[in-house]
Amino acid sequence: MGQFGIGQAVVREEDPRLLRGRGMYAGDVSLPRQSYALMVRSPHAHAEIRAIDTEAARSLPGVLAVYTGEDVAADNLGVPGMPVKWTRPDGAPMAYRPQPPLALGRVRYVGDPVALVVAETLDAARDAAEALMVDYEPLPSVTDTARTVEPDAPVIWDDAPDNVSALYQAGDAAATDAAFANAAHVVKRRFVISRVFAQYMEARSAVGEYDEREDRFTLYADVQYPHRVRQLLAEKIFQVPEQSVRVVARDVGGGFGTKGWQYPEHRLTLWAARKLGRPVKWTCERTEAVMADEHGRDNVTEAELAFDANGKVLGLRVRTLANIGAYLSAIRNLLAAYTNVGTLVGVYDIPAAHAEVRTVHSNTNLTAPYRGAGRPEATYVIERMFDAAARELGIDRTELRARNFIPPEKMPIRTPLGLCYDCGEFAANQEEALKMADYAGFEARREEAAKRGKLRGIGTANPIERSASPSPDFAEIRFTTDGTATILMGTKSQGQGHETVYKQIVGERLGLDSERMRVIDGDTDRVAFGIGTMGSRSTVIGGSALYRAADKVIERAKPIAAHMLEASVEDMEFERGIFTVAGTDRTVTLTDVAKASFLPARLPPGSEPGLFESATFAPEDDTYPNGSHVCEVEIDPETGETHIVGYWVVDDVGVVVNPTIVKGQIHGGVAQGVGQVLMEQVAYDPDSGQLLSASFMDYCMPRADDFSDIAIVSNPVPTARNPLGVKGAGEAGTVGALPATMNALLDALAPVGVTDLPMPATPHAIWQAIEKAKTA
Amino acid sequence: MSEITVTINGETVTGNVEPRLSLADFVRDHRRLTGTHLGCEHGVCGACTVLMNGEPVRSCITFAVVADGTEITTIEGFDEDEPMTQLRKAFHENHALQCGYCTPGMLVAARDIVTRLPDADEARVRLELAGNLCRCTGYVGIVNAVLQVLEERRG
Amino acid sequence: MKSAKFDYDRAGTLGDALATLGNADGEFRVLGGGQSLGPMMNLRLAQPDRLIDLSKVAGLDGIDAAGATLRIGARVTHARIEDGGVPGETGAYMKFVATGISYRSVRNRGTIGGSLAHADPAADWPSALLALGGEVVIAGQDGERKMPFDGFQIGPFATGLGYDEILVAVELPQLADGAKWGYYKVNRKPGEFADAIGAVVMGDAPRAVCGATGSAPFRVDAIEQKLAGGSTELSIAEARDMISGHDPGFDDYELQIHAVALSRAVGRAFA
Repeated sequence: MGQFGIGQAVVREEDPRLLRGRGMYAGDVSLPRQSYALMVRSPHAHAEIRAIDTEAARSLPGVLAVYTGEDVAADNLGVPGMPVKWTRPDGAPMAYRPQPPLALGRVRYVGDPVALVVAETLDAARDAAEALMVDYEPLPSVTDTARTVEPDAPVIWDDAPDNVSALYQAGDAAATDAAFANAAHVVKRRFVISRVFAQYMEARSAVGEYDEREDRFTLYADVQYPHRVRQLLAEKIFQVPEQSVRVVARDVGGGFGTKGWQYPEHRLTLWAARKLGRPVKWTCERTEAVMADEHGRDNVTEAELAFDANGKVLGLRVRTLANIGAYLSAIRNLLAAYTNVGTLVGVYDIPAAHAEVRTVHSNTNLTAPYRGAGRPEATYVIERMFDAAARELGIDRTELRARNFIPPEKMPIRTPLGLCYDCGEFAANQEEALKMADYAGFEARREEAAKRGKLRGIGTANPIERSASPSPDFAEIRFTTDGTATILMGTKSQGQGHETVYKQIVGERLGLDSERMRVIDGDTDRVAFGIGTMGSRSTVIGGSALYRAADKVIERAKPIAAHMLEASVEDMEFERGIFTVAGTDRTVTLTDVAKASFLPARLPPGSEPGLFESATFAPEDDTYPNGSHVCEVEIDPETGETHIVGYWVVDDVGVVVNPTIVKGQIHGGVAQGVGQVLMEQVAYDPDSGQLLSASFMDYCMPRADDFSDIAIVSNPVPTARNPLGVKGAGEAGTVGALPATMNALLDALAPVGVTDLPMPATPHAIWQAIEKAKTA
Repeated sequence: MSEITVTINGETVTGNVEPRLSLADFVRDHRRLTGTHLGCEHGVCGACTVLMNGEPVRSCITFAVVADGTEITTIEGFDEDEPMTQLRKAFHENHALQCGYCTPGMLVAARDIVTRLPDADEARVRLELAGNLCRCTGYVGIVNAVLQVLEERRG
Repeated sequence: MKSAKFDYDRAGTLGDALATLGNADGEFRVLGGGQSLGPMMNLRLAQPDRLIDLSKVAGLDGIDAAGATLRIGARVTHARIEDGGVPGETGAYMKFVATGISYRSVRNRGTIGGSLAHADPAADWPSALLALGGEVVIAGQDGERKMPFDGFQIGPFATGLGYDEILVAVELPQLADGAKWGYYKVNRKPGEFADAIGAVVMGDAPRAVCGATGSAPFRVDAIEQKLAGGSTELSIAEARDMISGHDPGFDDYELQIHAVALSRAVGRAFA
């Protein structure tokens, strides 16, 4: 292994600038003559807009413009469009309900954009926003998922009085019914998975610029998908050629799936910049972010698991209500609801399964991918079901799981929900995790804690997630005349350490030192093509594209090297950056070949000068990162306070390019999963639909003293579905943490008779559950 | 408008500011020192932490007018600072940052811990770091980095 | 997330500040460290017309232990108290309380006087100092007056301080060395505002305070009598009974955690 290759825990390339405060986040972008925009948002969950009086706001000093929905509509901006065609339960087509960038006639959630104010300064914009008079007629609202489908629930869209958007089904209903008919034991549970928000530390920004000379838009924004944003803005919104839009994203302060491609502020800042002839900068405020951005999760699931007499699962039946929010603007709003239904069967060999998901509208923000995007929800259901079943059947939780694992020799396997798992050692993962956590010694720890008046519990989960789904991404390696390489990527880092990982891949393949490479992403003018970073796909797909581009570099350089060494191409060998004539000590470095490639006199006759290679990669099937989590908690029964006392993970993300970075991804993912179970929640007042958790004072997130160390061991089983053998690591931690943490809480509380907890399991909720169990 | 004179990273500057301007916006917008990040603007997340007269404060809830006559050190002003140099190295080695947005405030808070509490153990470090939110790391690398520097400084 | 517009005065002397307050023609507020007011103004929960900054006023940051009582200037920061700036057993108690207030970067700016005058029900000093006993020293248009902690805070964000008065100091009893005290907070997150506070100080007579109530903290006579009778323990059930009569609008859980806080404060005092 060389200086800088795959598998090494090298330190990150990104760190030096970020540690010195020299990052460049979207909110740090300032353009000459820029103006400042503020969004005015609905204070009502549901209301008719009777009138908007912009006069007072417009006349204030420093105000450049006050725009409403009618102004946007007059310019005929397009909508994102909906490529999938689902149907409703009654067979009618699912209605496409795009969110207008500024409301027209009706607002449907607290935060729905109503007007855009642009001014010379942010203070002037704010003063104008306060002077804007909007006359609302409030309507009844519904925010709670289960409530949306009750017969008397308020209606979000008049043409869908049941609030249902669509029905999606997977699996075989008849086969599942048959499996249940033969069951010795059926376990039934209902789970409510809360609504949460990514709460990236950097709230979103958008700086829009229009260059009249070039008739061209430039958007500086913190997005995960620069090219996708460009495509949407050009093709759908402004209906201009794609070259007429440039999207630039530099350092991004966290994304977690939620810094999407369709946010109204992107088009509004560009549109206003064109109208005003000045750049327009919008920066989301923290208390605005929960109103402005997409939310995550939020579903209600009823699940049934059928067992034979030996504790072997026969079938799984799942019915879910997934709250997609007030609109259906882009396919993003369906991803969490549909795309990961397949992993409901978990890592278990389940012969028959059927799942149906009803997507429902409510007076809430749109939901969209947030770290896991359906994967944590699916794993949560199956892993909680196993714990519930183990209790009912009187079998140890881990033993019951072990009886049902898909063994490695059975893979590849097509699961009853339609996915094809290729590899993984599920039993070995669990075994190792239980060993790390000293699961066998837990009862002694429980007793010791009880002596101190504490309830101690341990929980496990064996997550699997569908990652890096088939869609292409792009990589290019460009050499310069001094033999250094520029690596251009279609993915976009939001803190994952892509610069480091991609350099490691090129270092491995081409033997270049880190200092001789530079990685560029997040600029549609510099990078030819890309989809972006989501679904744990960047190393899998971007990395594989890069690996292929590196191969092309070798192939292209080989004849030049041969010419330089006066040998035949067939005799050239390449390893770690050096071409050698086979069986001799005659060598030339790739760096020297790259330099020579620009000098026609040194090239073989007829060759084209230069050394630039690009590649795309689109996998044929998904990858399946998996693993095993163990969480140990201690609860103070007198206050309901929980402390995480231990957390252990065995993870199989396939080949590990950088162990430190993979661990970091899992640490952060676990923290977000634990956060959702213990404290995080986007809360609404059930009567008024008012948002109750807009600030960091109300939206509680894990802090350093909420955690213990998180120990991680890798059990990599390489996948054959990409040349690197990697499976994806971005979401793995969160997927396992939801069920492992909740299972640990319920294990701690089992001795006092608690069988279920709401999410988040706050101290208040835990104490109430204990009290309720006492009286039951 | 009020006139203020503040020494920022060793440079004495004078500015005319509206009373409602926060110290954070003063350093970011008036001085173009964008390393000071705004995470919440209500004093909860710690991303905007800077030194005022050598002590960490939250620049988002400190008005610029109040900083008149003080010495401010932002993340850009620590390049010659020994504990900060140790912390940067330790953060780098322990993967204590991902997106980097909380990092400037986290480093200023960490510097306070290693200089003020030389005997801090892990529990104390976690408690002292609890004033700074990080959404990426689960705090594992950050805690390890601070413990490493404490150890180094104890020699 | 920016404050509404306001005017700003940097008072040179206490007299200047009082004169400005005396002529107030709107909502004028005194600015101490601004660690409570700052967030509220950024969230626009507070929109004062004018702030009067006391940071340059001399004589507000002294700690004087020479007399029978301990006098602490209003502008003394939580951090200074945390670092042992207040001597004796009273100092030890206050150091313990100060260490648990928010986070160090807030304690560096936040002041004891500001906290008392702001009177957030969930803040520490209103409860902690009510348990200690003593007085607040108030400068007004006609000179200084003193007001005991008993009765100083009258509700959430409401005190006996007049609109044209400034809290300039607190005068506290000097606890005998080794005097027993216990302070316990229940909060969702360490460092954040408390959900429940229990404070017990065994000075000349026992004082027990139930704090973070949603309104003003209150003394619990039954607990004080029990402690005066020589008890060194208080069960949660007893504490629940003793505070439930106060009826500050507690729901069942609030009753529970306040009882836990008081029970554990007693436990800490006699540990």
